Amino acid sequence: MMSVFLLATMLLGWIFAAYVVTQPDPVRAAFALIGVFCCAATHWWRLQAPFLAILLLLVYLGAVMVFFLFIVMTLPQSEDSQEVFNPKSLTPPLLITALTAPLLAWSLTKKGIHALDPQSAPGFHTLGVELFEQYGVLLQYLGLLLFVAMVVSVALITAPKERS
Amino acid sequence: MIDTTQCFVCGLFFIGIWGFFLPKSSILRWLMAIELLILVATTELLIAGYSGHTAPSSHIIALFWMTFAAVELAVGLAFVRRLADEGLSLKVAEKSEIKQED
Repeated sequence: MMSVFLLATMLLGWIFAAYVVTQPDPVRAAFALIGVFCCAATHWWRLQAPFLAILLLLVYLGAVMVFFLFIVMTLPQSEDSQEVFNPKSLTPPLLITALTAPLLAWSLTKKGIHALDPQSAPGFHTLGVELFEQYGVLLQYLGLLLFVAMVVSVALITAPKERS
Repeated sequence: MIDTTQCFVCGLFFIGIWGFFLPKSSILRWLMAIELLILVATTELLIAGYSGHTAPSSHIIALFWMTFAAVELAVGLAFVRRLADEGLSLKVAEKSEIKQED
């Protein structure tokens, strides 16, 4: 039952992702991207990462993607929305994926993806302790990075326009 | 044994890269393709944690990676908004168009 569910989310995720890159309307593409993230969250849950799956749904979809949609909706509509599908465009990604994916799959799962004992998955408490004890300084740097990104974004938007 | 999550990730990786090679691309599409590729990288981290018994560390690095994705998206969207305010096109010029301009 679980494998059928995972297979369905995999196929749905692929369909949504293909829609993201081929859809000329960015608003629809952004909605499809939200679908891809929802499908990914189910796979993260299966990989014994419920905390990150919830974080992806609540924080990433709830805040970041809504912000993305908001910006995309305020952009002026593109006058050229005709999509030209070129089969030649499939060749480079096929080559790159064929070269990279088997290598990644082998290097990451040579112990077998089902080898982990479900009891050894980290709980919320373990994650919190690890995050604040071992990665405390990195966490501070990350906060600083978010602050700098916010300042840069505001500066980019509010800087006076150049007059040509 | 071929795993569903690995297949999902490989498919997303292919589609993410395909986004860069499609004709008549725009910066927004490239941003979304980058988002897909970052999702792939994060999922691969979680797979590594799941199969290699490195779970707490890989989960925390995945969390950091998600933050980087949010930062990239914020700055990228501010850049896009700025381009739109300046009245510039968001379309990515193709090689043939660049040659014609030269």
